[in-house]
Amino acid sequence: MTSRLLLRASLRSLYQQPLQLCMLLAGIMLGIAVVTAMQLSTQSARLSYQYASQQLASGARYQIRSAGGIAASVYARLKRAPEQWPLLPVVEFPVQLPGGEQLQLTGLDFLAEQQLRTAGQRVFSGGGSWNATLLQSAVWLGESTAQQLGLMLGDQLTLTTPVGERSLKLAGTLDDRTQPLLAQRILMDMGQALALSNQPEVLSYLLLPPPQGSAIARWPEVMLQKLRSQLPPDTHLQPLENPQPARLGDALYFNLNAMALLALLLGTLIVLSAVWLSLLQRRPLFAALRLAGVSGRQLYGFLLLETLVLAGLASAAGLALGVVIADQLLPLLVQSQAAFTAPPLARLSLNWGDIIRFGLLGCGSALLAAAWPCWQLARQSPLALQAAPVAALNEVKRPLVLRGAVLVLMPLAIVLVMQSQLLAVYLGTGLLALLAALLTTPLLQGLAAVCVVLIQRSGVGARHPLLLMVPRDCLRQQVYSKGVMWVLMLALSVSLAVTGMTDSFHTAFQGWIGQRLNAQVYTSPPDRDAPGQKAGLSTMLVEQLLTDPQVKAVARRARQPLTLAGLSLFIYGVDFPPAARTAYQFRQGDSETLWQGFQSGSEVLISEPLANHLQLGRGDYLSLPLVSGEQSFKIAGVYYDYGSYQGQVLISYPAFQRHWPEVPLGGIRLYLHNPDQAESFARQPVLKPYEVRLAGPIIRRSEQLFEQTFLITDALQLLLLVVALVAMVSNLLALQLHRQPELQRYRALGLSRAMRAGLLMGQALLLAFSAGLLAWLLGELMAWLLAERVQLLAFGWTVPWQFAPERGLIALLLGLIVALLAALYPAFKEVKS
Amino acid sequence: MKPRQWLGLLMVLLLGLMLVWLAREPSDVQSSNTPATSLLSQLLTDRSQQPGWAQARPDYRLQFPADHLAHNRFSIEWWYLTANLTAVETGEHYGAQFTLFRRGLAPTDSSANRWQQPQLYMGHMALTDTAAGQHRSAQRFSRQGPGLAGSTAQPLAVWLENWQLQAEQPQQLFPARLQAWDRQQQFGYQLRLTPDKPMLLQGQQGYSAKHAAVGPGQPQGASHYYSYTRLAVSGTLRKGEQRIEVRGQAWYDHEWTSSTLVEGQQGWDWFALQLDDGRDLTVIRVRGEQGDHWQLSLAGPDGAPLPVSGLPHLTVTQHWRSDDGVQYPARWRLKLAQPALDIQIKPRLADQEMKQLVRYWEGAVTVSGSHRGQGYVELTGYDQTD
Repeated sequence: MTSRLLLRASLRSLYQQPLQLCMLLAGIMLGIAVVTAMQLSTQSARLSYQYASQQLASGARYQIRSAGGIAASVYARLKRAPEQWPLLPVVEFPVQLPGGEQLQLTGLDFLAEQQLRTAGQRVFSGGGSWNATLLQSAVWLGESTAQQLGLMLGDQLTLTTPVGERSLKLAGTLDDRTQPLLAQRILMDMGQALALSNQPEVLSYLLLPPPQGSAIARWPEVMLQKLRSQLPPDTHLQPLENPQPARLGDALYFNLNAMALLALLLGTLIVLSAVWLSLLQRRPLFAALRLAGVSGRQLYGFLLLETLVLAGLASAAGLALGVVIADQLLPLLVQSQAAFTAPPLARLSLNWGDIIRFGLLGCGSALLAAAWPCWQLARQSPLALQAAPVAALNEVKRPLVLRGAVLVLMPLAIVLVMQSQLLAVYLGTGLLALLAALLTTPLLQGLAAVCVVLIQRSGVGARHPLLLMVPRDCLRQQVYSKGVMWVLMLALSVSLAVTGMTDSFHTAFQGWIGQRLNAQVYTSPPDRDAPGQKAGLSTMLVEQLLTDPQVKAVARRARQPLTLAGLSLFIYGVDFPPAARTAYQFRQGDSETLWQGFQSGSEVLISEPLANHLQLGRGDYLSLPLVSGEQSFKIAGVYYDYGSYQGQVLISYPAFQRHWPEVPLGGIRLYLHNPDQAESFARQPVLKPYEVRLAGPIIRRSEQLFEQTFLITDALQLLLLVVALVAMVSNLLALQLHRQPELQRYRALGLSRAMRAGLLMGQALLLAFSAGLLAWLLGELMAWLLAERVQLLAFGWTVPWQFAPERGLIALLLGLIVALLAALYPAFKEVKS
Repeated sequence: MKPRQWLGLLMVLLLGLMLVWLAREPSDVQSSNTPATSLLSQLLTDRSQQPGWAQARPDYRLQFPADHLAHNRFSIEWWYLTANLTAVETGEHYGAQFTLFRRGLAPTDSSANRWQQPQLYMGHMALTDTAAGQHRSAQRFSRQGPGLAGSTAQPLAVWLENWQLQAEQPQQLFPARLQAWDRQQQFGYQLRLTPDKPMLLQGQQGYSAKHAAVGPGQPQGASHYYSYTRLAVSGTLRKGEQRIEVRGQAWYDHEWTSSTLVEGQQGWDWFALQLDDGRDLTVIRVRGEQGDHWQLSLAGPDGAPLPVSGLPHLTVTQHWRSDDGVQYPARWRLKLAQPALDIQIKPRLADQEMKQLVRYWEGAVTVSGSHRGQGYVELTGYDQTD
């Protein structure tokens, strides 16, 4: 009987207040949507790369990638190396079907395929001669795609390619029934595919299948090291299990994960805020139910069940919305890596595990949000329930400073005590955000009190009583409005934290690359084309360049792969003439002494990530595996480096030559007396046979890559703000609804429509200002943690946190704009009423 | 529409959207055991002949070092090296065969894209371990592409990936180094080849007719062909992890053509015999329905060509059948009138069949009878006539 009563009451209440129900569902839906969108798009982008590689890899465990692709001459050189690397070249780029659908065109070397790749063999059907395959524009298309397009073998297919529209003959179909991802691919011979790309001499990546004829399925580490040593600089051998487009890509994915975690926090708060508000608004109904004989326990159980059902529905909708948003985000995310590598076709990967996870998150956070207020409601007497939970100005008695100090210090203490644990830092950051949310009310109270005092003392309050009503009303409504503040505060602080970390990383990266590339001309050996030629530069060239009057200094460089404590890295033999020394900034130590030690050949320099990985510092000893056995070298200094998170070791070039005499000279840096002459100097006949690059274009390209990579974070921040805006509008609308009787009283008291609308707008602005102030503080704290602590723990390098006041001011302004936008509709409704 | 109706509609739409999306979710990357369709089998069975290929001409005089390199205007070309080797430590015999084939897909190359150059290369490598009674062979393919296979003048070299023959000096092919290693079959060699004799131009000044009626208006069937019939070899064989130092003698051929066999011809028996008296004998028998076509040459101990006259009398005295039924001749008696010669040729090992894409028998042989010696024999076209 009681349950039926409760059910009927609940249904009627929700039916009579559809807007209230809508707001509750929208709140939970948005919370889940933002988490789903962020996590799903990040996870799918990774999987898209992984699938794309695995689909073609057929057992390959490694791939070779480089920013901007792999030059065909590099591939040819590796194929002719004595080790007989069974590499498979792949070129990939998107093309469009006449209907606008995008497919991935994949070029493979069918000759290499046949020997080494079983997957390549099994997907072919159709046929055609070698002449057709290699010399004519023949393509293989997914069987289902071919059916959809009504194409038969031998038909012509028109594609929009990077070099324009091309008509290609359908030579065969791919078995996309057993391999669904093949439905998105068009296969071509490598030569044909490259002819359709913008860069006919550049491959997307190389796959390294397992060694053939070997009982050991995996390549031994020593062979992998050998392969690494044969790769040009900035070209990386990576395991396929965890494909990473590039180092900057790592940093990006790391940022995205951090954002996804913060989005989770934001989502949870949105759900929390929506549920609380919904419960508070229905207090009179609960009072009536208690008077009708419903026990507190029954009410508690029912409210939880109701929350669960509504949260389930809203989570499903949130999941769907999140999937739609993720579908839009994913191509952006995948394309952000286009500068580093051919992006795979973006495809969302959602499985039942994800659905259950996001569903549980929605229901769980709603239940969590509802548990305490429901318990409070159930415990209260009907009379207490009938009274509105309004906080008065004179109730502000809590020890604000003490509470604030405890809330800020606690997470910081966690971070500092457990500073070696990445998880602890994340935990601390999350806790900091959650606890800061609790500071919103006292801050609002404080600000409102200050506003009241200022308005009263200035005498403006007497002339414009409405101005005085704004802060006072804000205080009276704080129980309802704190959810809005949490959401806004967290959205702004997350945006600020990510911007702060990206800005800091950008500044550090820019400074590093500017310092590091302080030579004007960089020379490296050409890619050899004929067999038997020794890779490397001749010492004659160095001598020749030294006699050139334009040259101020010449610095040689060679490298050798090493494995130190399980880390795969390079030791570099480098010359450091005085002109070259500004390229390196050290963590500590007097640079004069430090360079002296290095030049002696018995001391080495190590990069900061390596120092952190090995827990070594200046003055410690590093043991290096030489041909003659292990030898210890004193560490002369630790330099800042963002080039490799595995780390690197530098030794003077003469010492390097003594220890690794067989390693050829790999590069020369040239310092000119007049840097402006770099371009004309690079055209000198003596440098003609070599690869010559100027520092300027390299720096510009690096900068461009950075911008392109981190563009996606801007899009994601915008998403967070939009979600926060929608959540705020929803909460403010619900608040306005709840305040209808009160606003009616104001009307009766003679407040005009404009005054009532102004009251709403003013309150929204005050809320946003409080939230913005707190977000400024919290955002910068989180940015400091992410830059100084999290980067160090994740990558081993220090990114100095850069404080920029304009960042906080923009966030504050953004908060005010969002609040104004959110209040517009309620204000408009009030004006129209 | 009332707000609650809007709400209902929105929920239905979103749920529907989710269901549609879920329905199209692909399964994971799966494996399949669908049988392969060999594209490579078309490599040499593609008979489509385009006009425009250059043909061997009797008036063409070979020019070196240019003619050591690839002749892309001819459709077929091969560089061939066979060697009889002896292990320095144990005295055990090994046979080695290394061949690079080039197949042109088009007589001209109009593409600027190096991947589209119409040249395919196939490499064969074999090692006969006589003492162990073992014959290993390996095969690989590549297009010319961006330097994956081909030949260069500076330095003088011909290669297919990391299988390569490279001259030590400019302008002349030998002395040269041969490097080849096959990871799958776990064998290879690093050999230094020094010429004991000058080059021998086969046929008429390097023009080698493969049937009797070659001439204007007659079907094609000739090649340009020269040999180094005796090269001193030293170096190392690799057999698994084992490295064996060897010495011995090798034979090198380079031949290019646009039409080897004509209608009615099945294949050839090729004998490259190094006699102990210092002379080297080449006997080529092209088997045809209308009768066999013979080509013979004899190089003296100083490399100078010696006269050979009369048709040889070649008798197969024994056969060998491979495990899948292809029957090859396995022992011969060869008689020549001028120079006077009556020899028996016997394979070092019966099973030296190259079971690769192109199937043939190529093996080390010994020579006994009126003259003693060693050599290599190649037998093609037996798998088609069986």
